[in-house]
Amino acid sequence: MEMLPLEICMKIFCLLDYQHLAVAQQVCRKWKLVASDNTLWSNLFKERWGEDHAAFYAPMGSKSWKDVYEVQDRCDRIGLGMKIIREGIDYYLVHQGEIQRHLGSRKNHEKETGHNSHTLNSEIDFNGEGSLAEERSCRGILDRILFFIGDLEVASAEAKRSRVI
Amino acid sequence: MAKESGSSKIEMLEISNEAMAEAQSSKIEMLEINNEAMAEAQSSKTVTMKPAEAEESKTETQKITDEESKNVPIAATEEESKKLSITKVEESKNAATATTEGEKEEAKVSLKTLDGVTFEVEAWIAKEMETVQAYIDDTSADTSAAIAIPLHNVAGRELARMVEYCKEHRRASVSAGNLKEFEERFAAALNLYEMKDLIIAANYLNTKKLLESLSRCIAKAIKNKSVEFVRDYFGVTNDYTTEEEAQYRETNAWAFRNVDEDSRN
Repeated sequence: MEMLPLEICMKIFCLLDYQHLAVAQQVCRKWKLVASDNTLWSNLFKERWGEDHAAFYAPMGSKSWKDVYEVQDRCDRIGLGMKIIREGIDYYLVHQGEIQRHLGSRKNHEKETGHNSHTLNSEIDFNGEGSLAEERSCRGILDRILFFIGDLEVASAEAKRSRVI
Repeated sequence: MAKESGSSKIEMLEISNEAMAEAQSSKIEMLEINNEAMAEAQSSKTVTMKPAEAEESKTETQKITDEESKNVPIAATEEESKKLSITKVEESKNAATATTEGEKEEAKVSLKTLDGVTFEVEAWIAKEMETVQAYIDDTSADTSAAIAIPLHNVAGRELARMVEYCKEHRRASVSAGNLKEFEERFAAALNLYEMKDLIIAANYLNTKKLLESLSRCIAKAIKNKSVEFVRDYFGVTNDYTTEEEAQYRETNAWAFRNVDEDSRN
């Protein structure tokens, strides 16, 4: 099949919203560049939050409009406070929409539990003395607690939003 | 330049009068202009006008569509304004009307497609295709009537659809409701791959309205579709490594907050 010229792709991308642009970015490298265009994302931002908001939050330095959009979207979803959330299979510590820390991954956790692997993927610093087996056991418990909190946030986000409305 | 355009306007006015089947008695100068116009018309055509052809042209005139019948009051106004002194505004209106009428009667553009099919289209349709119009402007007016314009990147099927779109779009643009209904009907008749071929052709010929309409349709088509579908549809090769793809999928996970983990994969 013949590939569409880039100018046509850009015309089409102007008509997509952020979810579909995110899909477009995963298609290939060239599409990632086109679908990351600052004009596209700044237009989406203005459409959703207004011109004044856009002027205030305009990206500085190496940041892009996509990054700004992402942060603002998280603020809308979970508020400004410090929270543990899940996006996809990963758990994050988030403050004011910005990711502060990557806490772990459900996938890696399942691997660890399933295969009884000695590799530890959690980034939690654990200061304790004891045997390796005991350490691994404690970290597993911590991961479960953190993941539960993240799942709870995801599940309750919708309820919170409807209450606000 | 101004003189040439002036004389061409006068000729167009005369031609439009003939097209409207209105005979006038006129002064010697008018007779001379008539003769010159007739002579030029005959010389520009391969076949000399005959009474049978004259009758055919009258028959064609009687088949005027609703849009063209709306021009009759304008023509009447044109006649009245001729008797009075013609103002600049009315003069420009009449010139535009005359140009349209003249082009409908005489100017047809030949377009030859990639697969060898030749299309005869009205001049105003060719005007919609800006690439074709630029080509016409670059060549002299005399030769453009004889030579078919080659379109190397456009197939006959796509060109037929584009011509059909331009005609019906003009007819439907009388009201916004009709226009929207027409565009939906036009899009529903195409499958996704035909739509893609058509938008490539429209991009090459720079047919702006069709291009916008098709962009909207394709954007609607790929919404809520998976990455794999979009790749297949657009003929895009996946040049990500497995690790990169997984990484980008996770990086964009924030956009799918309401999508289940399993159904997203």
